[in-house]
Amino acid sequence: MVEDRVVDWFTYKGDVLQLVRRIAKHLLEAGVVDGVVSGVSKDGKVSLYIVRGAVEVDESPLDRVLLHGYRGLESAVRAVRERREERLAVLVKPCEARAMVELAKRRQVNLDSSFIIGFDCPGIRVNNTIELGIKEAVSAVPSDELLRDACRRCEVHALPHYDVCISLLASPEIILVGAKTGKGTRVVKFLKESGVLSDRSPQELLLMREEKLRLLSENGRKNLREEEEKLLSAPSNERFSWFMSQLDSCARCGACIKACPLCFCKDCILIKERKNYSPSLFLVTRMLHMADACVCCGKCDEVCPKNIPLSYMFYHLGRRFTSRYNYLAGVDFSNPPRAV
Amino acid sequence: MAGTMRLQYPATLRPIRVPCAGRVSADLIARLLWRGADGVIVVGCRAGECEYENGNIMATRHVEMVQDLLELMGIGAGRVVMVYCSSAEGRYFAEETMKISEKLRAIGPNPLKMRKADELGVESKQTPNDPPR
Repeated sequence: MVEDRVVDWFTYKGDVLQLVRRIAKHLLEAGVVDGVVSGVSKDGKVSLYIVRGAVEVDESPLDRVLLHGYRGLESAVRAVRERREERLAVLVKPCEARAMVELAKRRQVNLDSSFIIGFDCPGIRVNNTIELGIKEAVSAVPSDELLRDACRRCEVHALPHYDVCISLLASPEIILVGAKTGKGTRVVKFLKESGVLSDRSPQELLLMREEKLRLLSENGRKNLREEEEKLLSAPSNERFSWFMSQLDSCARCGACIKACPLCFCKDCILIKERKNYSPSLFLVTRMLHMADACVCCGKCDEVCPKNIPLSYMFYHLGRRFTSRYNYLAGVDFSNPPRAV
Repeated sequence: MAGTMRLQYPATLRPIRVPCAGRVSADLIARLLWRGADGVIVVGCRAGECEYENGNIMATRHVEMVQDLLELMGIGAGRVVMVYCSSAEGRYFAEETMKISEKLRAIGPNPLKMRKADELGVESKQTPNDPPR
């Protein structure tokens, strides 16, 4: 299904937003994609907008799209998922790329007709990214207190699958650009020939990147383990009270379903037959439907009107179940445990 | 077959027939617990004997997922049990279900059903498909 090859890494020195724009323009001009999932600014927020002409790329707030997402419940992954017949380029973080891999396993997304441009992600800060530009946001490693809740327990900071990957982890000044698939390699070759990218990345930088990624994953795993230990150390009746108080406050609004990159059911039973579910059963059912595919992107936390710690509950259940099978959602193309 | 052999199995056990254990999805098990069942036993065919090839395996995975959830939530993973048994094994079914029933008595009643009825929301009210209480 997907071509796999040893990744070629090149270096880029310059403004990373300009690089992304160059790639997007080339993809449209060369006809590699029909559109680039981007946005249009409206009242200070960004709404989903698919750019189809290279001319429009320069006005596109691609940096805001990547860092802050969209207003309301729109998301880049959902845009790709809902337009399967179109070839779209999308700018994503590792969690969203993992979601696309899980969706591809369930035949909801075609990775051959999508073009994934992604970034290594050190974790997204709560609210701070408004001031930070894309360069600062994806190069510096924030401390745990500054991170979004979901990012604190994230175990995967590099894209498991992509066409073009942009990494600022090794150095914010010498940016690494890698291509994994055939179509990604062709784009990177074009950029090299046009002089946008210079020579192959020096080995030291690649090793620094690997080391940073290793530390980020270790930190995420450590936080995940600590959270689990803390949860399970409480006596069962206390856990039960806490869980039920959180789950009972669910309004059954369905915002988390719309925001979740993995919830793809067009006729979601929770939305159609809402009255048959109590608030707690609504969330428990959603958990049992998709927790094993949860990539801890945290979009559910962001949209929940009741501020329920959804990614905490979903991801812990998901990891508890998937680690029995040595499975991690979205990092390779192995079958999910419940799809034997 | 336990019935035809006139063997005793728990009077509090409510059998629900499905064409294959694979039909029993995780959210179905959760719905039973939310409706007040103290425990759920999913009985599937033994390894390699599933008429639909892998229904018993899928049932096991669903049971495991619910057990993980119940453990995290403090309701008790022991409330959901997977049993491998063919429909001809009346004695084994009777013995296993008796044993599980004993264990469930030791674990205690389902905390979900101990909550006040109004806390349970719509689950405590009749839904259109329920027989009148």
